[in-house]
Amino acid sequence: MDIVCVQAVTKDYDLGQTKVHALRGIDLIIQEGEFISIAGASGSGKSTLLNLIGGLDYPTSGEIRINGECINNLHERELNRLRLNTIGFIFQSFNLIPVLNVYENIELPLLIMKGVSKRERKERVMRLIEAVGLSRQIKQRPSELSGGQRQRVAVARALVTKPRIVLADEPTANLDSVTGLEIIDLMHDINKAEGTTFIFSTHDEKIIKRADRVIYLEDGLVKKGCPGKSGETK
Amino acid sequence: MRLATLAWKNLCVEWRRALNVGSFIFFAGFFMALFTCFIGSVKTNMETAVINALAGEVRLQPAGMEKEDLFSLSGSWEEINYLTEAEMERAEKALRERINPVEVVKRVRHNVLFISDTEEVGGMILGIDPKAVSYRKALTLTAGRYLENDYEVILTETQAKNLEVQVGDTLGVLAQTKEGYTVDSALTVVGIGSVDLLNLFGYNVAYTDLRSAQELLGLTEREATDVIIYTGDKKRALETKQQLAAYFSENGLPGPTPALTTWEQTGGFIMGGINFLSILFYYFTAVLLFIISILLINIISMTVLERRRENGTLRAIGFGRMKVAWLFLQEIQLLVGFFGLLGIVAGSGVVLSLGRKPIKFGLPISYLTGRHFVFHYDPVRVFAVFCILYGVTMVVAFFPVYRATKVQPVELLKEEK
Repeated sequence: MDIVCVQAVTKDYDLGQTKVHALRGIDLIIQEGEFISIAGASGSGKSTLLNLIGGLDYPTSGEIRINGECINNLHERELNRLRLNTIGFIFQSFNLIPVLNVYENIELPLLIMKGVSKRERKERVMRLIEAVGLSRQIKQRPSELSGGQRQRVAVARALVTKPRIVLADEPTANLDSVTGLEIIDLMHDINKAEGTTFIFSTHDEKIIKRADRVIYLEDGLVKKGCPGKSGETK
Repeated sequence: MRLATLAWKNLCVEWRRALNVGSFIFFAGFFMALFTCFIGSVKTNMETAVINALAGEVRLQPAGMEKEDLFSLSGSWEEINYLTEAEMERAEKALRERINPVEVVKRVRHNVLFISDTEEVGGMILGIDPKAVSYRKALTLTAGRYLENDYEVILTETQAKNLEVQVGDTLGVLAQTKEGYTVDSALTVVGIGSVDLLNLFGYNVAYTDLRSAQELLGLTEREATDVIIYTGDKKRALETKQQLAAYFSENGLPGPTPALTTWEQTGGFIMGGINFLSILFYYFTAVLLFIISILLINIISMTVLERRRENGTLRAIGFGRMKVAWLFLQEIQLLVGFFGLLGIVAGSGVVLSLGRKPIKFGLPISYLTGRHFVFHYDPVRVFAVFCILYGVTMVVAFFPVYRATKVQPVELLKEEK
């Protein structure tokens, strides 16, 4: 099933008198349960593409469908709902709330989710804490954790709402190579176990190799001539 | 965890940031409590001065004298209005039967000419029972003593200066009796002083004993120009007036009914002045509040700006704009609740400790405060100040918070990189 469908998407940024064409016409289809890497050099448009898929920004033209629903013209409230229920985010710099501990950071999105009881909240959070291997750090705040542990918290937070898609923007960029691979493996394991679609951007070749499919971007376009269909490799 | 926990933790963990905004709210609360109690005290003290020195709580006068000027008798000095013996008797009976006054003071007010060895000055003389308590509360002496015997006078500082007399000197007084004869009398200056808070309004009356004033006007011992009544509760003035008016209408004498006025009516001109002063003070308070608001907007803007990352993260994980704004506002609410209350309590403490004994002030502040200013603590005003501070803070906090949450999440997250 097509979970993400990107059709002829462009994104331009106005920087005063100059216009930057971040994406120049992207076509992309992602199936549910895929573990995909978006690769490319810095400035190739990886983050822009993830932001558009995540409903954090609007495309200049083209159409983005998430689970069959066009999100281009969604009202802000609908986009909030989409981000809460369907999409999970993992950021390069973890973006944890510094004043909350591990448990509370993971629990945070559930506080605004309707229909989740206190008991269920606790169950979900505890299960994920165990899954990411942070049972002993449950009361610790982000400042007391290593980079890898912080990113594990971010992974758990992204998954706690049971999203169908997890978008990770260079999730290993601030980690050493070993920890980075551990995080990718953790994401891969969850992908296999839960069937959650993972889309992550990176320019690290070692990380790219872990992906089931790689989409190469260059100057805002899917790179042609790479192995696989339409510049995609598997 | 509840969402409010996030606000609470933000304040506790980031206590320096909280202290930055909180200390400002604390001082705003502190000074506003102090300022409002000062304004209230000035007003209360002036009202007390009006009641004690001029108007009583209710004043009884000859018919048609409702709008008489308190500071100088209207008309010429030949024009004499007074309560007859029959009217006085009826009034005393009414007071005895209907009211239970704390003090009733018969007075004789008369325009006279004061004559010293060197000067002649026209003015008003006020004859009063030397043992009356109320006038002593209002009149502050700078020299000499209060009235004790007949043929004594207390002059204001201005009168003493103009007449070039001192305590112990004898003063000639020329007046016209109700029959039209001119009489003169000699009064000994036993005191010099003034009704502090009424100086600002030019109150310049010499006090003498009742009997001497009656002689100057040719009145009998039972006659007076007015009677002022104290019940001990100024809020009861209107009720007292209505009870007396009802008595007079039920047991009317032949001729017009004596005029009855409450202290607010009698001291209308002064009350107008006091109200003007109050408005002026409240205007300053409003300006102060405006300045506080601008500073608060800046401080909160800076605080919110520092937290763009948090804002962006919350938006990305599904928090709506208003949800994020509400989170920030909850923090402000806790801050104003805690620090505002702390400031108010501190301000109240200062007012209460200052109110334990009169504070001495010199000119020109003493025009407003009197020479011995008494601070009055008014919990209702202070509570109102807290509510205003709370409301204003929440309203002014809303704008920077709302503006911050209006930014697209992608912009907030981009900032981080």
